Amino acid sequence: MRSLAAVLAAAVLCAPASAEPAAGEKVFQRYCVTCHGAKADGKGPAARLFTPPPADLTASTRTDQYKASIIRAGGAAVGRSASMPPWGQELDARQIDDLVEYLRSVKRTPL
Amino acid sequence: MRKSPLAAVLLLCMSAVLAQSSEHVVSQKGKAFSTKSLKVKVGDSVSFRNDDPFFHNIFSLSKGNEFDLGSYPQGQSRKALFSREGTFEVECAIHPEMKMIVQVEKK
Repeated sequence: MRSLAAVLAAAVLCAPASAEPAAGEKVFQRYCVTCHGAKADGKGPAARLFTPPPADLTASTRTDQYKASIIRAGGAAVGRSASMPPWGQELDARQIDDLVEYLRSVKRTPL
Repeated sequence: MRKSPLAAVLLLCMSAVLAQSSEHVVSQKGKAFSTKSLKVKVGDSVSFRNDDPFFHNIFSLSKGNEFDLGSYPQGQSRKALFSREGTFEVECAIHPEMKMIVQVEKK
């Protein structure tokens, strides 16, 4: 019985934690706001430097997997704007998951 | 006194040399610029060289000299021309703590 409890406890400890939108928001506010804006609407202070402009992430219809790919590898790698840097060397997998979860939370619901 | 064509050519060459702009190099290493501030003259350019094993980016939102040089990997450089007097902040979008000042003075 005791060994079963130990196995269950280990399984809980080893299970991958689910992504946290609050942690993702911190990542977003640190790395993404300059271009995508504090509201993730693509209206950051640097947005005027770019053509095409940074994406309005509140209106994105892309999948979580696509968002994780473009964050990790940058815009050029997925045939989008090269102005979107590759973040895969700066952000770890957990941070990217958290960020994607946060982006899911800022998505506008269609009226 | 009549000036010879050779003298005129020499004079032109000297003026061109005097008017020549300089290129400064700033390294990006250890998530930091190699200098916190740099003084240059109007018309000078600054080449930002990535000496880190990961991507860097260069942009400036300072009024009168806004630019984005994009993101680039180790070993590559991107150059910015400073054609106006003023004090301009240069940043890396990937590493928000990386900031430096380029002070552009009259030639």
